[in-house]
Amino acid sequence: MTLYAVPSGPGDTSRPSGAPDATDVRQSEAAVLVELVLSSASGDQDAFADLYDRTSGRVYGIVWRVLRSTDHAAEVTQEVYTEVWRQASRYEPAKGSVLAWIATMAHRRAVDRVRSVTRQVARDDHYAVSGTGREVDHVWEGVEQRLDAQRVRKGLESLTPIQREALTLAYFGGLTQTEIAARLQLPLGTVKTRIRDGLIRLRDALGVEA
Amino acid sequence: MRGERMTEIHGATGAYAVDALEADELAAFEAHRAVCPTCSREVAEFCETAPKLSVLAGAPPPPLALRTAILTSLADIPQLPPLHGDVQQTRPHLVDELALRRSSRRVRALSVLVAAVSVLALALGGTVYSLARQQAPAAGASADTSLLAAPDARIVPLQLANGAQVSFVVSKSQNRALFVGGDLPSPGLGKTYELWTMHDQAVTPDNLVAGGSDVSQWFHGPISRSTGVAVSIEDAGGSARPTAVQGYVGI
Repeated sequence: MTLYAVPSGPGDTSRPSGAPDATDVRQSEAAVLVELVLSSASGDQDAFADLYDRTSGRVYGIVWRVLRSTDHAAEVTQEVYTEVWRQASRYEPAKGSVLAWIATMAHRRAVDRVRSVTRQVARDDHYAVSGTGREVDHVWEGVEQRLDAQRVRKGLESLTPIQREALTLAYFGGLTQTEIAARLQLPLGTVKTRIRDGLIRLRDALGVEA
Repeated sequence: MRGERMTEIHGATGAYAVDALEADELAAFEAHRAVCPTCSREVAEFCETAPKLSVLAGAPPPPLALRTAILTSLADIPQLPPLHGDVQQTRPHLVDELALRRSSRRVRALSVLVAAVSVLALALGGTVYSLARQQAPAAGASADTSLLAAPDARIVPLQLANGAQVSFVVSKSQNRALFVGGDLPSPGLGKTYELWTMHDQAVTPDNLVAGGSDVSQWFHGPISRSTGVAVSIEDAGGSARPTAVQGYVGI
C-alpha cells in the first residue's frame, strides 16, 4: 500500500496573545454570511458581491483542487455561485452554515465534473500530482488563514494515516470509495469506516472551537 | 442479517458527506437518511467539517475575471421564491445541531423518494398520496414532500432524446411541478438543460438544470394553467426559445 505524505506546516501553532478569540471571530463571520445570503435573497447584488468575496477563496479552492484545471474550476465555481444567487431565498440557517451550504454544493459539482471529464484519463496520474500538497500555503497570506490552516493540519494529524489518506483521496481526489479501496488495497467496508472515523476525529478536533 | 445491513448503511454517512458513494449505494443511503435522524444529523455535521479542509487545498486565488463574470451575470439570473414560509423570519441558530440538515441534499433525497414512490405506485396500483404518507414520516413535515402528498400528484416519466430517463412530479392543485433525473448526462461544456412550460401553442422558458446524478429542479410555473412541459439543451444561461428539444410531455 502506498501512503502519500500529508502536508504538514510550520510547527508553531500557538496563537499570538491578545488576538481576538477565534471562536467569536468565526461565529460572527458565520452570522455575517447568513445576513449576506438573506440580503442576496431579496436581490441585493452588493451583498452578494460581499458574500462572494468572503467565500470564493475557499469555494474555488475546493473546486480547483478536485479538478486541477483553472478552466473547469472557473466554470464550476460560476455554476455554484449562480445557484447560490438563484436559491438564496431557500437557504435555511437552522440547517447548517452558509459555508457548508455553498461548499457542499461546490464539492458535489466538482466531483460530478471530474468523474465525467476524467473518466478516460488515468486517474492515477491525476492524483499523483494532486497528492503531493507541495503548493500548500503559497496563497495564504493572511495571519488568520494561516492559523486556520494550522488548526486543520493539526486536526488531520490526529487521524491515523489510513483515515487521513482515505479522507483526502475522497475530498481532494474526488475518488469514489471503491476507487480508494483499490488504491489503498483495502476492503471496501474498511474504507467506508475509515472515512467516517476520520471525519468524526476531525470534527471533534476542530469542532471544539466552532 | 437485517441488523447488519442497517449498521452498514449507517456507516456510509462519511463517504456520503464527501461524495464518495457510488450511484447505487448513494440512492440507498439517501432513502435511508430521509427517515433516519441520526444519519441526517451526522451528515450535517460532516458537511460542516469537510469544507474546513479547503484551507489546505493549495489553490491559486480565484481569477478576477471570474468575479466579474459572476457579478455581471446576476441581473439576468432570476431568483427563486422561497420554498415555504418567510425565510426572512428565520434567524441564525448556528449551533442548533439537532436541526442541522442540508436543504440541497434534502432535495436530492426527495428525488430518491420520488423514484421509490413511483415504483411502488406502479407495483401496487396504489395512490401516490397514501404511499407518500408512508414513505416520509420521520424527518418532519416539509413543503417538499407536500407535493407528493397532494391528492392530484402525478409522476410523468419521459425519455429524453439523449437517452436519459427523467420524470416530472406534477400537482396542478398546488400549482407546482418538480423535474427529477436519476442520472442526467452532462449537457456539454457551456450548455445547460432548460425546462419549459407549454400552454396551447405558447412555450415559456422556466428554469435551468445542470447534469448530474439525482438531479431535481422546481418549475417556476404557473403549472396549473400549463398543458405540457418540455426539456431542451441550450447555451449556458438559458435561451428565450427552445432550440435543441430533448423531449416533451402533456400534463
